[in-house]
Order: sequence, then C-alpha cells, then structure tokens
Amino acid sequence: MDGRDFPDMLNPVVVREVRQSVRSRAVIVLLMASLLFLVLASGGFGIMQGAWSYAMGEVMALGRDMFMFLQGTLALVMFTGVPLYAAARLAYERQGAQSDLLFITTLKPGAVIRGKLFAAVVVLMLLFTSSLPFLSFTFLLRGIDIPTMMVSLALMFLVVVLLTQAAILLACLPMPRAFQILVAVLVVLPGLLFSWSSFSFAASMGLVQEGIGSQIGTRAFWAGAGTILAVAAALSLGMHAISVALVSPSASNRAFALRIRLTLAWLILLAVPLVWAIHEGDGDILVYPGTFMLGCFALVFPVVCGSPGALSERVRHQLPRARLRRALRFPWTNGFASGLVWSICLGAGTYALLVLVPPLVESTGYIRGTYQEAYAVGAGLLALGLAYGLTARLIRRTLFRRSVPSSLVWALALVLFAILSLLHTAILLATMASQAGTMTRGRISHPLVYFGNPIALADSDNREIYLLFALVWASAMLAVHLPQIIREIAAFRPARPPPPPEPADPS
Amino acid sequence: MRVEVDHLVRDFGRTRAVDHVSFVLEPGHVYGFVGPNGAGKTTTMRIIATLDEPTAGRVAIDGRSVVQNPEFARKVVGFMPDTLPAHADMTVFEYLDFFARAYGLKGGGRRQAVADIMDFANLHGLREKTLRALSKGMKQRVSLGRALIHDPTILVLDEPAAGLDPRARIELRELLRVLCRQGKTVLISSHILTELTEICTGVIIIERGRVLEQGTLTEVMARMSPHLTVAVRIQGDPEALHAAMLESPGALDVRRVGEEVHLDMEGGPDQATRLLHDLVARRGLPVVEFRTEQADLEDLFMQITRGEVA
Repeated sequence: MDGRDFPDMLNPVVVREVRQSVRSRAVIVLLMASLLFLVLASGGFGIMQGAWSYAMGEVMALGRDMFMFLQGTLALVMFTGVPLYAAARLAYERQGAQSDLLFITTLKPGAVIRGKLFAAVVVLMLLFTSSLPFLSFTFLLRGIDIPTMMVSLALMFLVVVLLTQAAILLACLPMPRAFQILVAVLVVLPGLLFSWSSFSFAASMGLVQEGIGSQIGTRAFWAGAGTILAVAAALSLGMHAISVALVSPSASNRAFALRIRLTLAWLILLAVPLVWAIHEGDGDILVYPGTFMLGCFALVFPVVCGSPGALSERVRHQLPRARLRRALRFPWTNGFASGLVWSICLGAGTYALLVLVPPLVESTGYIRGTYQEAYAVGAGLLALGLAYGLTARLIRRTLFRRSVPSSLVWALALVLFAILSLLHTAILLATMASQAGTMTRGRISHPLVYFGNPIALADSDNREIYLLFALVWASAMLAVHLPQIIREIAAFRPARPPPPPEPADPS
Repeated sequence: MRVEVDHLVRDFGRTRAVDHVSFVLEPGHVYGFVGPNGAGKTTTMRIIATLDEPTAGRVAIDGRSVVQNPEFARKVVGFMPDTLPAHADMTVFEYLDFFARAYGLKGGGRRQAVADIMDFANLHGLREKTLRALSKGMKQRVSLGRALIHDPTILVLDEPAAGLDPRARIELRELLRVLCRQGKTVLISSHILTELTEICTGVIIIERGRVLEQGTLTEVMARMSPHLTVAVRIQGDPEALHAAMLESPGALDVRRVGEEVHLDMEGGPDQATRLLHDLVARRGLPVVEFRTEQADLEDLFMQITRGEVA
C-alpha cells in the first residue's frame, strides 16, 4: 500500500483536498500566522498583565483573561482564514470546465460540497491542535475550568464551520471572477470580521467570564446547548442544500434534495421554539422566531418565482406514473408552480403554527398584545414576498424575456422594491415640503403612499389597509399567473417511453 | 458499444447550436468529428458525455438513452474536454487516483487501474510531478489517462491534439490506435485534419449545427470526389505524355504540374492500370513515376464547409 493511500471509504474530494492542503502555501501561512499571533498574544498579554498587577497591586484571574485573549486571537485567524480558503478553492475550481468532469463520475454533487466542507474542517482541526499547548497553558494559570474552555472552543468550532458553509455557498453562486472578488471584499470579509467580533464578545462575556463548570449539570445549560445545536444543524442543512442545488446539473431535479432538506431545516427551526414554548408554558416564545421565519419565506418567493416552467426530459422520466404518487412528488420537483406550492405550504404552515399554538399553551402575557401584530405582519410579509416575486416574473416575461434569465427574477424583484422605496421617499419628501399640515407623527396621513413597503406593516394605525393592499396585489398576481400554473400542473406527466427498437432485418 | 445520435437538437436561447444531428458510431472504429469553430461539435460531445441535455432528439448507447440513464452512460463513456487539467498543485498520481476514486474504484482495483493507465499513457516518469510542471503534451496525456481511468468502452475526445508538437501528436495517434484495437468506440474532434485522416475510419462533417457529410472515410471521399486523379512523370519531354494522356479513354482533364502531368479520369484502379499499360507497353513512354491521388480530409473539409457558424 502506498504510504499516502487513504481508505476507500473516504470521500474522494476530502482525499484530494487534504493532499492539496498539505502542500498548500495558504494553509502553511494560516498555520504560521496562528502560531505567531498566539506567541505574540501570550507574550504581550503576560507583559500587560504583569504591568497591570504591579501598578494596581491586584492579581486578576490570569488564566481566564489570557484564555479570552488567546481565543480572540485564534478566532481572528480561524474566522477569516478557513472560510476564505475553502471558498476561494471552490470558486477557482468552478471557473474552469474541469469542475464539470466531477459530474460525469459517480460522485454526487452533495459529496463534492461535503468533501469541501470536511477538508476545511481538517484544516480547522489542524489549527486547533496547534493552538492547544497555548490554550491549555492558561488552565495552569488558574481562573478558568476545563468545561468552560471546552464549551467555548466547541462553540468557536461550530461557528467557524457554519461560516465556512456560508462561504462555500457564496462560492457556488454562478458569478464572474471579478464579481466574486467584489463579493469577497465587500460582503464576505466584513461579514467574517463582524462574526469574529460578535463571537469574541459573546464568548468572553457570556461564557468565559460567567464560567460553565457550575452550570454544566443544570437543565438550563443543556436546553441552551440543545437549542444552539438544533439551530446550527438547521442552518447547516439549509446552506448545504442550497450549495448542492447550485452545483447540480441543470437537467437534474435540483428541487428534490433542496426542498426536502429545507423542509427538514424548517421543521427543526420551528420545533426548537415550539419545544421551548411548551416546556416553559409560554406561547410568546413562538412569536418572534415565527415572524422571522415568515420574513424568510417572503424572501423565498421571489427565488421560487424565477424557476423555469418546463421540466427537463431527465426529470420527466423520473416522474411516477401512478397519479397519487405523482401528485405527492409535485412539490418536490423543479418548476415554478411546484415551487410556489411548496413555499406557500411551508409559509402557511408557519403562519398556522403562529396562530394556533400560542393560545393553546399558557402565556405569561408579557407580549400577549403582540400576537395580533405578529399575525398581521407575518401575513403581510408573505403576501408582499409573493406579490413582488410574481410581479417580477411577469415583468421579466413581458419585457425582458430575451435579456434577463429567469434565474434573475429575484434581482428584478429587488429592483422593483428599490424603485417603490425611492418612490415612497420622493412622495414623502414632496409632501413634507408642500403639505406639512397633513403630516401626523412624522408619517404621511394617507396610507396608500406606502403601498408595497414591508416596513410600513409596523405602522399599527394603518396596518389593515397595508395588509389588504398586499393581499389584493398578491391575489391579482396569482390570478395573472394562474393559466401558467394550470399548464404546468397539466404538463406534470412522465415522458413517454422510447419506441421499442425495430426488429432486426432477417436478410 | 454502439452509439446512436438521432435528430439531436440543442438550443441556447435563440441560437440553435445543434440542429437535428444524426449519426451512428460502431464499436472498434475511430470517428473524426470535423467542423469549423462553433459548428456544434463540443455541444454534441457534451451531450453524449451527459454534461448537457438535448432540447430534442436522442442519444442512445446500445439502445439506452443517455438522458434517461446518465449513470449508465457515465460508466461507459470517457470524456476528454478541450481544456487541460486545472488542479495545478496535484501530482499526476494524485490526479489519476482522485478520478479513480470518483468513479468508485476501490482498493486493489483502483491501484491497478492507476498503474495500468500510467503504463498505457507512459506517465510513470511524471508520477510525482505536479500538473503545473507539465508541458501541454504531457497534460494532454494525463487528461487522456483520466478519461480512460474507469476503462470506458466509448471515448469522446474534444480537440485532443490541439497545441501538441509533432512528436506528441504521433504519440497520441499511437495511443488511439491501441484503443481502437481494444474495440473501443472513439469519437474525436480535431482541427488537424491530416491527423484524423491517418487514424479515423469514419468521418462526420458538421457545420452550423448540421451534419453535412458522414460515413467511412472511403465512402465520403468517393462521394465527394468520384473521379480518379493520376500523376505521371516520364524521362524526357512531358509534352508527349501530355498528348498521350489527352487521348486516353475516360479522360476528364489533363494538366501540367511541373515535370508531372495530372489526369482526372473516370473509373477506379482498373482504369489506372489500363492507362499505365497503355503508356508503357503501347506507346513506349519511359514512365519513372506513376501514382494515383485522392482528396484528403482537408480537401473534403474545404470542399464541404463554408466556415459558417450557427
């Protein structure tokens, strides 16, 4: 056996990536940078702490403070280095035609994405193990216990893995290289730095300073840990599903795995506050996550509205012949109508949960008054998301059929939203200038000025009219698209089997 | 394995890249896929390799549609694109080993497959070299090795000889001959038509997404240039030869080309034999050179295509 031979059971992409990582300059730089920062941080912290103790005549919890300092330093390298490394490698590979070659092997797109993530995790483990001597040294200095160190590092590991997944997802987006660099500089890097600062602050304040050792046997600790793990699992599942769909061949049924996994992530994300609400006997717990998820679905609609209507031959050949099975398969198959059915079902499910569950469980009444608000805002967001998506689809179909690909309907919806927002601002400014007397509490008294603006749903005085407008707009757009939806449903049939081969010529 | 391409159509927006292309590839033959840039060769090849899906039409391997059975097609088709391996920091061994794993080869079978391919493509000396360090010809050999790693019975090679020096081209030609002897079906596109003439048994000429001509090389050439051209040189004044050839039966055109006289005539090799006998035995001309000439693939290509793209 070759000395570098890896077991067969390993994902080939992991094998390849690990082999490449071993000789990668980026990984070596990352490793050396983390070690250098840790050495400098240890030395610098020691000097600062010594000077502080001498000047103030007091000894602080040296181990704890040094751990926080080192973890923050290590987190900076990990939060920026690992996700960027994984995303840059994937983006580079996807530029050429060579990535296509992976998809004519027996490798599945999911294995490719998982392989990229696991390879990044291997690099992450390398950085962790190299930093362990520094981190464990802080334990000897007192002021911190082993459980606190472990939990804090585990949380950091989890966040870096999620950030890496997010970076991989961005790298899967079909973009020209210049645009990818722009996104990396303007979105990814600031996002990573923001995550690093937020994490460092939260971990330092919430975990390390409080200490975990005394809480580890409590129910509250495990409930919190369980919630974090469940939310992380749901996010991970969702990002993985979207990444896989982005790299899958367009002829395949991308929607199947994507929608199954997103539904699973949706179930997990709803189950967590539901369990909390039932456990605590407080239905209010559901209100904010439920409304947040409705907002997410409002963003899903414009994406779904960009799905092409016609099914590829490959997908049509996979459709079941039995009607019931085919009907059950419909929401899990590529297409505009099927995507609409799937997202409306999930959005309505979330809304139903938000409406039905809180009254069933005992409420503390703390935010009881916000139920009605949440119902209205949630319904309004869903209706507006649907209305923007369908309108953008209509605009694209009638005006930009040739110039804008259907996959960019979401961008058209965004442009439409921006235009309406500018219109609102212009009307507001014009009205302020000419009719200052009609203004009440800083708002224009006529509510229709804010039609189509989701933020206006927060205005309790005129919420009903905004909601009504959103519902009428969405219904009208649905009516416009109804013939197409019906056509798609009617065409949702398996392809005819190929004709039998002609009998051989006896002569 | 037999490949049938039946009324294949592929549209990209309003552009029809492939327009009802039909042909059949028989096992053990090498087919040249010839056409100007933008003719639809790469698109057709990508559809056969399951990298793209047709707008209409069918590609079947031994009667099984590649659209309906992509997994089956991927096992039996080896595709070599016109781009070179991009994983610059991998060694040749790692690259082949990765694709062997990606095709599901395991344990001893995988190691054997990689070793066999290294033998076949003469890559042993390059085993530990990174792809970055390889010349274009070497990369082409690695790319061919990758396409062969899962022992496919059908090979689809897109411009494998592009940019190769004469030596690398000869090596590639030898490799393709060996594959042909192994009974593999090979579809190869190339701009270097003289290369194809030497290795191909069949040819498909495509332009603007449409097949203009196809068949065995002999058939196509016979169809495109039904007459025979004979070049003759004698010792002494070629004028006597010119006069004699003008009188020969079936002569269509006679012209002086330097010291030679070229005759376009109806008929085949029998007619040429009779002509030689007539010149030497009956007329007593001192013939020092007598050869028949046929149009090569390059002539055919220029004759058939107009250099238009879809």
